[in-house]
Amino acid sequence: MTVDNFSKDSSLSDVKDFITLLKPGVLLLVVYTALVGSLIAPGHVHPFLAALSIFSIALGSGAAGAFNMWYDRDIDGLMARTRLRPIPSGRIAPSDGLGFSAVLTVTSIVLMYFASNLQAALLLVFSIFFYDVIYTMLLKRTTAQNIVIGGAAGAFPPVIGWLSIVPEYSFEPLVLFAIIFLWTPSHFWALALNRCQDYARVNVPMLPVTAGPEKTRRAIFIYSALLIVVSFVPYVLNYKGMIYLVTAGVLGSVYMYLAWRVLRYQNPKDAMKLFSYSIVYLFLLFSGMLLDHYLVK
Amino acid sequence: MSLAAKRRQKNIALGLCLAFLVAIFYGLGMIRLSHGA
Repeated sequence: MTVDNFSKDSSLSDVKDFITLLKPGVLLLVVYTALVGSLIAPGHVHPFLAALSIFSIALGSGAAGAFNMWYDRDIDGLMARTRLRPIPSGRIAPSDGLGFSAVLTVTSIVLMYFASNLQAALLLVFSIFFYDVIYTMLLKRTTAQNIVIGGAAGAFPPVIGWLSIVPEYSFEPLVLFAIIFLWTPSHFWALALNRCQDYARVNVPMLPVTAGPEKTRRAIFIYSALLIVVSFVPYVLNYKGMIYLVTAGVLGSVYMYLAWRVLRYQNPKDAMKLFSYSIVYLFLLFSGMLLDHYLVK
Repeated sequence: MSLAAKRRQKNIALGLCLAFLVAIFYGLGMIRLSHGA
């Protein structure tokens, strides 16, 4: 498919299509992790400003999602999972998708700056740049390590949330960064294991395509183990207490069991189970952090 | 949904977004002014 085959106007679109461009599922995780980052940060700002900072992160995440859908419109149209997205299906014109992303990008950054501080705004700029340029444009179609490195983009939100409250870097938000960074490969490869043919058809070098399913299963297991180890760091460094330790322990045990099943049996259902669970895991792990923060206080 | 209805829906959504943005910046301005930051 060439660029010329795409719709020239967006008259067929409705509001729902523009919401789809924001990647609402990803956005929800981004907002939640950013919210936790800002709530556990040791500082206080006006609640309206704190809410606006989170809203800015949501806008920035949506903007990056829309940019990704604009840039990947050629391959999205050829993959079963993504062919019904608004741009490849012709409901939104590519230029409108890009414009939508640009407006959201600028709005999110300006809003973040006025709602919080320069440090948070700069990191928001960097994370959008990282997702748009480093991951989407440079890594995704060139290396099997695409989502390992690109995963950093999704790991910035809790740090941005933290910085919006306390405008200086410290180690604790970097641990939150590390948790999401190490979570991404097993989460994404579990999905990619079942979408191997799709990615192969459009020449996207996802690990199951370049290294095969067996090595991918091993990599999923290794990254899961690394994730579980790092998930205990907030307790080890005394940032969080027993509630978090129990949460991380229980959630991590289930994670490792599912990752082991993916490694041991070649059942596609196990990979999908791990993929679904990984989302629940991140939500609950960060909830445990929050609970610990407030109850121990 | 007809094309006209879709256009109307998008115009309303855009209007609401702009109104929301204005309200946000108004709120921001008020807080900044009252806190002297």
